[in-house]
Amino acid sequence: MKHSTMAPRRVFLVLWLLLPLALLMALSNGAVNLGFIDSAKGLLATLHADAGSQAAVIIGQIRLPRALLAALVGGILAISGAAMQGLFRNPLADPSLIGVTAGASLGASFAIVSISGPLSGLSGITLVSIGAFVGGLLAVILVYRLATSTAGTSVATMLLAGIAISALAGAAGNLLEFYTDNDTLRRISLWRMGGLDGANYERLLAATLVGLLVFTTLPRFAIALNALLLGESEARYLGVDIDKIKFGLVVIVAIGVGASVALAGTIAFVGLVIPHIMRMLIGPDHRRLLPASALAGAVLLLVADTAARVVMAPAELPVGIVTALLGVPFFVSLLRRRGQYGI
Amino acid sequence: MLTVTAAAAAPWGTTLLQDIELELAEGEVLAIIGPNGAGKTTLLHLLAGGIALAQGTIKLAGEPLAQWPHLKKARAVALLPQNSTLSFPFRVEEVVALGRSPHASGAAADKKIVDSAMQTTDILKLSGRLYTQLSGGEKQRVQLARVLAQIWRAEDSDVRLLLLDEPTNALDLAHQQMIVHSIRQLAAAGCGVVLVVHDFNLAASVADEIIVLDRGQQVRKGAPEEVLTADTFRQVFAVDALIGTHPRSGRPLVIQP
Repeated sequence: MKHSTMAPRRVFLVLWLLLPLALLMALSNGAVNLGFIDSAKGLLATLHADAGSQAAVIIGQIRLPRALLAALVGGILAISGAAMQGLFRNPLADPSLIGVTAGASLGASFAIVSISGPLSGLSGITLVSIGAFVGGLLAVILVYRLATSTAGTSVATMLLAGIAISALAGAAGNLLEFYTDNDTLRRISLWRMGGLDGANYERLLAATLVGLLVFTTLPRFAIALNALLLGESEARYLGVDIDKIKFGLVVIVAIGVGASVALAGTIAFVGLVIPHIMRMLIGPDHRRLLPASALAGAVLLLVADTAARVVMAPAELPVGIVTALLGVPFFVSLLRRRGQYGI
Repeated sequence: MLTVTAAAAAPWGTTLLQDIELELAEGEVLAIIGPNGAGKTTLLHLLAGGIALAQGTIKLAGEPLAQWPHLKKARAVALLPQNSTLSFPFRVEEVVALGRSPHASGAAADKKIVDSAMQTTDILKLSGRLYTQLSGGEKQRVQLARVLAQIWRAEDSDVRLLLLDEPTNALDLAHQQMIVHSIRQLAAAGCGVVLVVHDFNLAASVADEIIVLDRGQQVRKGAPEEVLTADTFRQVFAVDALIGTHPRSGRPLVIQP
């Protein structure tokens, strides 16, 4: 019986075709339906810094930053998930395992509680975002230090420490919520559900910088991650500097996911399931898996965010709900054929 | 090529190995035997640099092993672990190609080496199969091909050392013989080989020298006929064994009564 993964080149071709399509769809759909042609015109007008027509305003001021933010965040989450699954040698790992998401949630809750009143903008990036980013990084530092001894960094300990620190951050968050008023409570829970409605060019700039870092550095770990799948000592005997790799991966993923959570809230599912789906389609080789996951994550979050805006327009669904609704059926259909994929 | 003096290891605090003395020349085959828990695998990982020395020195090509840079060491030393935990659905040829990852020999050369290594362990016909769907013996041959590919070419490193932890464990007789044949071939090409085995006759047939470990101590060392004696079996393994002579090779033949 031959393996049944698809030709990777075809998968990449499809993904590269889907990405601009999803982007165009995100630009043309929403509370005001613009159609592909008006969207394209609006996009051109925006690119020429000519904000004359209504379409140009909607696209340039609202939809373009939001769509690009969605694509970047989706890509960052998915590629981070692929890297974490490789590091932990566990397809169930997701980027939140190292404590970053729970820490970020706590940081954001802190910020929301302490600045009751209108959330003042700090050049577009709110204090809540900063609180989330700092909270996420602090949690990861704690997890990493717990897992590191003189004998090196234990991945298994890191997993357990991640669970412990996440639980601790969750408990602290619950305690905060217990003592706040209803209005603050609702703001916290809305933030938790994730959403891209706060998108603007400042946030987009932050996401672009973080995206550049993540997309250019993580693929450099591909060969080391492949070797790591054999086991830690095997990877060491293949010349991989294990502790350096672990440190590098954790730092990059913490920055990437911390920034994603800070800019768009917690968006579950993308980091866990996209790498899975890609592994089923093109195999576990990280040289292909990492870029494919980034592309597919971008497409999924673009489509999900568009759906979140359109389904109940002018109201919006939390995008995390839509990613799950869109992704799970596809994932389940792949799981039903898992025998072919060798897992 | 490999010199170990007064080596001790205590990876988790308790001393697992003590006073290990051995020397391996290029092209020599050394077998390590001993009861369960004697420290055989620990010694192998010590020689590969995966476990830190508690005492003593290990020198490879005259230089302390701990000072070898990661990549350079990976080009010189390959270790086949007792069992492997790869649970991701790589294709067989991809697993074998991982053995080439420390090298920068180019895709075309690597492809040739991977094919030759797969031919050596008789897994060419499995090359497109998923690793996770293979049997135990097939997986073992794939892993063996991977470590062979890692040290395949003499030109990749000045010294080459192959460390095998029970390489014939899950293999049928035909494939066991194939492994013995490829160990001899590698040794003939100047590669040093150290293998941990439980099969004394395999050790006797392939090794130039045998080391017996017992509770972390090196209790016997020498040529097969010096080490494989009734006395060794009684004292170390607590069994009576008859020692004969192989009718063809003249090496010792261990028979369990």
